[in-house]
Amino acid sequence: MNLLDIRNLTIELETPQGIITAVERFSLVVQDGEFRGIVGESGSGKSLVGRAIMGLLSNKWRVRADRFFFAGEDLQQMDVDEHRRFMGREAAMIFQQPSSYLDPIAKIGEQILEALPQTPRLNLAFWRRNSDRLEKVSALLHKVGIRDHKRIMASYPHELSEGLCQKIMIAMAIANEPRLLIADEPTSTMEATTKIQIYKLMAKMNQLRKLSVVHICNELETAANWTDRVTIMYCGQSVEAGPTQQVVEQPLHPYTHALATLIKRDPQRQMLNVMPGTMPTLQHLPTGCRLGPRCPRAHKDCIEMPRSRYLRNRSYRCHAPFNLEEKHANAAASGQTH
Amino acid sequence: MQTPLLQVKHISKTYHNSKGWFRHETVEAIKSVSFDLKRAHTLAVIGEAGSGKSTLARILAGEMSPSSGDILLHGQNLNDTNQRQRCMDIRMIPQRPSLSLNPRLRVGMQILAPLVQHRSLTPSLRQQKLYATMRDVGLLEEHADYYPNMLSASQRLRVTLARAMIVDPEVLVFDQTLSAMDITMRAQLINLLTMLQQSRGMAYIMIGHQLSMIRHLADDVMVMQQGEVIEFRPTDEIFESPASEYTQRLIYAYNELVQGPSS
Ligand SMILES: Nc1ncnc2c1ncn2[C@@H]1O[C@H](COP(=O)(O)OP(=O)(O)OP(=O)(O)O)[C@@H](O)[C@H]1O
Ligand code: SF4
Ligand SMILES: [Mg+2]
Repeated sequence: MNLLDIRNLTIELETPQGIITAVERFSLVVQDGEFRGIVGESGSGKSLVGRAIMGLLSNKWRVRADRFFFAGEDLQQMDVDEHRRFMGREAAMIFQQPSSYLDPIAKIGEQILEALPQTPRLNLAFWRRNSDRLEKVSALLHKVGIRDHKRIMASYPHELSEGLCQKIMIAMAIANEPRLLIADEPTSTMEATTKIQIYKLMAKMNQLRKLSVVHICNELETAANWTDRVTIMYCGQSVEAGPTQQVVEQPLHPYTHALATLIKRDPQRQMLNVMPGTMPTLQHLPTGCRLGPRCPRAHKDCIEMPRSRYLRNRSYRCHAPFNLEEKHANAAASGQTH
Repeated sequence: MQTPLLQVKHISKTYHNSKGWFRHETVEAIKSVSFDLKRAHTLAVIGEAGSGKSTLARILAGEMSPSSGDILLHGQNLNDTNQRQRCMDIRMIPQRPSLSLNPRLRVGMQILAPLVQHRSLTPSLRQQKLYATMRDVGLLEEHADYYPNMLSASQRLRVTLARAMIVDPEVLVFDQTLSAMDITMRAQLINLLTMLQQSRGMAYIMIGHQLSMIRHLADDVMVMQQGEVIEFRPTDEIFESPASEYTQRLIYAYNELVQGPSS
């Protein structure tokens, strides 16, 4: 089933200088139980997409889409508050620098208690309810791999490492038994030993609890091995999407190709084959394809903005993709051309 | 035998923190650290938070002095050289390059600042030097007239790099500069640093936990724990057979991250 179904999501910002389109015709379909990656450089619009799904963008942003469904419900039929409340029940989001999302002056135990769903168990006497809830808190901490729950519950955020804080954020995120977890660069400031714990935890939640995960990150290297499908973003657009392994091994879009080349390590120490330049700002987008000025394959057609094209379970936005000639031939031979 | 470019000999640093009126606490941030760095070589320094990496960086860059020990450049003790000269020889790239720039000053002026402080040059020579350095780090001459907010993050990083290089240093110290960088920017920087190392023979000390970057750039890796060096070996060896427990955990985690779950 499609848990999340977004077609042509556009996110615009009104500024004194005019309207800026930060995310343009972005599509994303996430299946129930999928571990999905969204990879893009800083400023490519990844976080905006995540926050738009949760209904967390302030009213200076304009969000519209041809389709914007979660679990069969049309999010565009809801007003802002309904959207936020609905997604607050169905999904949870975690962020970079978890400690800054925790209340510095409240003990961890209290904060998790507050995150528990407010469903009083009426069959319990009131003095039992409290201990019942405390048990739930320690059970949650166990689920995220925290054993010494007594000590952690009595601690304040500043007494704990970022890795522990992130685990606590995840514990609070899963308290409501959500169907989707949106993780916005949850590990980018951590060192490898902490990073791996968070990755493993997300993978475990995904497998054991069928929790769908949208993992937003700025590098392909780790996303490549931990996600089922991946969407690559550049300048507010999805430039390629598909099963992660295929995307990494046979990238279609030149931008993905460049990223994929970088992670294939070469034992010889030498120059990396990297695209020149940087991603343009939204105020100074080139005409036509947004990668145009940096693209090694750019040609005259590219002054026309390429549309998203679909090929079996993949999509791409380019006039001259890599790795496609053979594919087309194969598809044609087996009668599967679209 | 050729003298190494940089020799660090038994440097230690003790901090005295006052704790109330009569008590104070001494923390040995680094304890008798020694190493050599050759010309055109790169040393990576890794270790847990609080293991003394940043203290080491700041001592090397001359921002503070060690409690004991010597630092020799070309065999000459830096305690004997004047502060000005040493600040030109070893330069540090800060943790957050963008924050270290003045938003109200044109980029060209900021790159030139260390030169103005340190050297007496004619304006035209200074201009030439500015443009040459900007070209070296991949900036355009016209960028000199820009303000920092008109540049992208990677261009701002290049500005801090140019500002460090304008005085022709021999050693650059990067303090975690590279950890928060996007993949293409990081790759561009790797190329730039490799090229500068080949053309100018600069030596780098990279502090931080960006293991992909370390693997690509560093010749040796030094591992610190509680102020001490617990491992110092060629990069390939560290990645293939890490010895200390800390390094093993780090490298295994890294391998698992880039190879995927081992199921
Ligand atoms: N509050 C804001 N006001 C104006 N522009 C904004 C604002 N927030 C985001 N933007 C712009 O929208 C674009 C997308 O931002 P977004 O935060 O989604 O990027 P991102 O891909 O998450 O980047 P990062 O990796 O740095 O988190 C950027 O160009 C950014 O400059
Ligand atoms: S459309 Fe053209 S410029 Fe854009 S990515 Fe494809 S080849 Fe490159
Ligand atoms: Mg973001």
